[in-house]
Amino acid sequence: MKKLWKRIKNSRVVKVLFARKAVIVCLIILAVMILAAIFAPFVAPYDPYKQDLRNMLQHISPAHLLGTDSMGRDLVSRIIYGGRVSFTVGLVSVLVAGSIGMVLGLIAGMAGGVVDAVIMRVMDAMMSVPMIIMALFLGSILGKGLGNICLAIGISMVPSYARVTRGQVLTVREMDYITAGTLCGASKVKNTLVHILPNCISSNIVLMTMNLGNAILNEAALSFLGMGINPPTASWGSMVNDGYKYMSSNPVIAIAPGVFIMIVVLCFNMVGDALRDAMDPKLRGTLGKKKKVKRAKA
Amino acid sequence: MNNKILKMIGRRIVQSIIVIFIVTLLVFLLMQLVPGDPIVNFLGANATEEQIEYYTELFGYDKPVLVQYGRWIAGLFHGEMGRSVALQKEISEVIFQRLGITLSIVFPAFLLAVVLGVILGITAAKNRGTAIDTVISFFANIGMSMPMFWFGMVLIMIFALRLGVLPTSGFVPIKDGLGEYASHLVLPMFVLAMGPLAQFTRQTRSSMLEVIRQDYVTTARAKGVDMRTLTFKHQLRNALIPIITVMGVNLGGMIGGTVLVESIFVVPGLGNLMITAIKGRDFMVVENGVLIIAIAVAICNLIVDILYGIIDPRIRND
Repeated sequence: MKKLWKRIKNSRVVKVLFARKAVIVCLIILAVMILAAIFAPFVAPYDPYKQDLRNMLQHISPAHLLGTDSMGRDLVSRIIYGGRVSFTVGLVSVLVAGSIGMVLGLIAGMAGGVVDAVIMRVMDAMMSVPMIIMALFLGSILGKGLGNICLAIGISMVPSYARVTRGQVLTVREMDYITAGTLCGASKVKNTLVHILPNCISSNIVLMTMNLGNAILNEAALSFLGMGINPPTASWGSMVNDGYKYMSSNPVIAIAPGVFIMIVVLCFNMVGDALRDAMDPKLRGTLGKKKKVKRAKA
Repeated sequence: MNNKILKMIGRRIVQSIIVIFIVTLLVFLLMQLVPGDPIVNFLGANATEEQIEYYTELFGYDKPVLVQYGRWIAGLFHGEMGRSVALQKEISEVIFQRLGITLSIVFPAFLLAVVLGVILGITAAKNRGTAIDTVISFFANIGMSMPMFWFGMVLIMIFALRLGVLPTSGFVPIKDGLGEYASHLVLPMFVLAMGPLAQFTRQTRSSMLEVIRQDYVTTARAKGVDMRTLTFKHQLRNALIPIITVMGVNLGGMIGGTVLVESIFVVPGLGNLMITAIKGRDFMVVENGVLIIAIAVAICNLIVDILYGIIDPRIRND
C-alpha cells in the first residue's frame, strides 16, 4: 500500500498535473461540492422538497441565503441536492460511454474486415447526429428519470470512445510485444485483454475526464427542455427552467443554479485539459518544470 | 484542382451517402421503440376505436415496419417526406421553411465565431504568458463551460428586460426588413456562437503556439518577412488543419444546438419543430428532421475534407 502511494506520488503525470495551481484550486472546489452533494442531508439547511407557500419567491436573506423558489423551497438546499444529479449523471454517463465505446473499439480494431466496417459505419452514423439531438432522441425512447438520462447521454457519447480506442488498437496491434505474445502462444483474446486493452485505457480516461463537463451540460440542457430529470427532483437544469418565469422579479432563482453548472463544468474541463497535457508524450519535458532561461538584456 | 482531389471528393460523397442511409435505418428502427402512438397522441383521449383505426390506416402506421421504411425511402426519391400527423401537412412543406429559419441564425453565428475566434486565438498566442493571453484563455474556458440556455436567459435579462434595447424573443425573416431581422438575430446569434467561439479561440491558440516554435518561422523572420505575411501565410496557414477540423465538428454541433437556442428565444426553426415532434410522438417529422440534420453534417464534413486539400498540398497529392 505504501509502495503504491509512493509510486503514485512520484509518477510524472501526477507531478506535472499538480504543478498547475489552477488544477489544485479546481480539484478543491470539486471536492467540496462533491462532498456537499454526498452529505447533502447534513449540509443542506432545509428540506429541498418541503413547500412553504407563505415564503415563496423570497429574496436573499439570512434565513434563505439565496432566497426561495416559486413553491417556497430553499434555493441553497436545492442547489446542494441538485449537485447529486449533476455529479451522478456526469460520472455514470462517461463510464457508460467509455465502457461501451472501448468494447466496440476493441472488437472493431481486432476483428477488422466486415465487423470493423459495420461497427465504424454505425458510429459514423451516430456521430452525424449532433449529441444533444441524439440524447433527446434516446431520452424519448428510454423515458425520463436519472438512470435513463445517464444511459441516453452515455450512449450518445459512445462513438468518440469507439473511434479513439480503435485508433489506439490499430497502432498497438502492430507492436513487437504483441507479435512476441502471439509467438509465445497467446490467443487473440488474451492478447487483446492483457496487452492491448491496458494500452487503450489512458487515452480513454483522458477523454472521459474531458467529457464529464459535457455530460453535465447535456443533462442540464435535457432537464431545461423538460425531458430530463422528473420534477420535483432538484436538478440544476430544471431549476433554471423553473426560475425562467420569474426572471424579472427574482432573477437569482434562475441565475444561481446556472452559475453552479458553470463552475463545475469549468473545473472538470480544466482538470481534463491538464490531464491531457500531462499524459501527452509530445509535451514531455515542457510542462511542470519552471525553466529559467537566461536572456541577454537588450 | 487535379484529378486526385476530385477522386477523393467522389469517394467521400459515396461514403457520406452510405452513412446517411445507415442514419435513416437506425432512426427508423429506433423510432419503433419510442413508447406512445402518434395517432392516439394527436386524437386525444376521447377518440373512438374507429377513429384511431381510420387514421392509423390513413397514415400507413398499420403496415409492417419494413414496408413503412421502404415507403419513406421511396417517397424521399420523389421529394415526398410523408405527412405529419400533428400538423396535417406534407412534411417537406414545413421542414424546409423551418430549416431556412434555423440556417439564418446558424450561419451568422458561425461566421462570428470563426472570425472572432481566430483573431482572439492569434492574439493570445502572440502574447503568450502575458495578461492578454490569460484574459482571453480565461474567457474561452468560461465560454466552453457555460450552459447555452442559461447564457441566453442572462442576455435576455440584461439586454431585453433591463436595458430594453433588444427584443426578448421571436424571429423576423430578412424580407420583412433588415433592421428587425438583425435586432431579433443579435441575442440568439451570440448565444449560439459562444461555445464554438471559445473552442475556436482555444484551438487557434494552441495550434499557433505549436507553429510559432517551428524552424521555418524563425527562417522567415530572419529573412525579414513582415509581420502580417509571417502571421497569416507562414503561421496561420500551417496551423489551420486542426482549426478547420474543430470548425467542421462545431458547425454540425451548432445545427443541433439550435434546439436550445430556438426554445429560449421562441424561434420557429427546425430545432423547435423537432422538440415538439419528439414530445408529440410525431414520428415522421423526427425521422425527417434527423435526416436533414445528418445531411447537413455530412456536407460540413465534406467541405472540411475539401478544405484540407486546398490548404495543405501534401494532403492534396496523397
